Amino acid sequence: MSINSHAVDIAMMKIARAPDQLYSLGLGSCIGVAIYDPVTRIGGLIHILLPTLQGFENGNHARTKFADSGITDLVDALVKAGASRSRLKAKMAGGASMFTMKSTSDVHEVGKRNIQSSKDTLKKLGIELVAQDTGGNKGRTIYFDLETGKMTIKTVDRAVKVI
Amino acid sequence: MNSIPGNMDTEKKDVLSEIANIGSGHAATALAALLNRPIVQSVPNVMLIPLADMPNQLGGAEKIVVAGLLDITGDLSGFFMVVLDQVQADRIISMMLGKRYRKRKADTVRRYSSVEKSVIAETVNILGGSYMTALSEMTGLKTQPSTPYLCIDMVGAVLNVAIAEAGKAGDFAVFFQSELFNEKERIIGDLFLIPDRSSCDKILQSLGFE
Repeated sequence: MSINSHAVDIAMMKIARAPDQLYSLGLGSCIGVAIYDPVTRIGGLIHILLPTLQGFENGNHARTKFADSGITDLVDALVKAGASRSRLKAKMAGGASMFTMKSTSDVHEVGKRNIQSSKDTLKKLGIELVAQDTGGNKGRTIYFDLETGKMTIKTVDRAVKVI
Repeated sequence: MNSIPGNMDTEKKDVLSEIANIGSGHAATALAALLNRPIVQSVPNVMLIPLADMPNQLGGAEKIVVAGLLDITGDLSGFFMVVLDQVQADRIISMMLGKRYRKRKADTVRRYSSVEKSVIAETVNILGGSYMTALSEMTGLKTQPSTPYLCIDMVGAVLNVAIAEAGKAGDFAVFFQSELFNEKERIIGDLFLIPDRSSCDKILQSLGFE
């Protein structure tokens, strides 16, 4: 069987099965949340830009842009694709503050709010967050391997991390 | 204004391009004075592009860049960004400090000294200040740029803060891009003004557009 890698761009989610891989390049304040069923090895990755849909309901917005609506939709899509709701686990990475200076502006806090909202949403949905690599001030590229359920995280000047 | 890319008509786009042209023209003049050599600018590009495509506009999400950012507040809000690849940043540092330029491997991240960082930060400050002053003079809209923030990382990650801000308005971002060149036609870097959506409308209104 050939292995395919699928790019997951900003405000997008994708679902794949082992042995495929899902990846997102250059996450800054964005978060990549991978949710998977370790038995059927069906999983999905979502590339979240903003913490919450609240206040944006009337706009022309993709639901997958936001942590709360996006993660909820990803879980629904996984169950539809044949994953078991009760076996779902999550891993996530991202949420950096790239320009960390003495900023008083809350636009630079979006990473932190993305982390919090992703965690809250997972908790609300009863999905265990088994591993994470979040915060800091470095960009990340992430690969999620459906075969192993491992997330590989690359940063520009540090060692590759696997969670 | 909603988020459909087709709805920026040609006339409005021309006006916004002219704004970008004047802004980056002033920035080029300021940089020329700073580096004591001629700097020319490209014809600026005003684009309405999907958020996810923004990193591709700058060479792909994983390309390592040295970026400077100014928060713009006041009558207009948004970000002003200067994006340099590491070779470009090194050239500016060597021109400003009068040091000989040394070639390095392109794909390794270099550590910059605090003097080198402040050289880049000051360059960003001057470029942004002159760009925004020109824009204010033309439109009568007042803006206050922040002090410069620096970041050396993957371009996708660097742009993230601007993309997140633009993402609040819709799934597209307005992007004023200009390139600066020196006498040998070597590119000095990319300048971006990323106004939020209401600011774009304000610019147009200030110039008599509905």
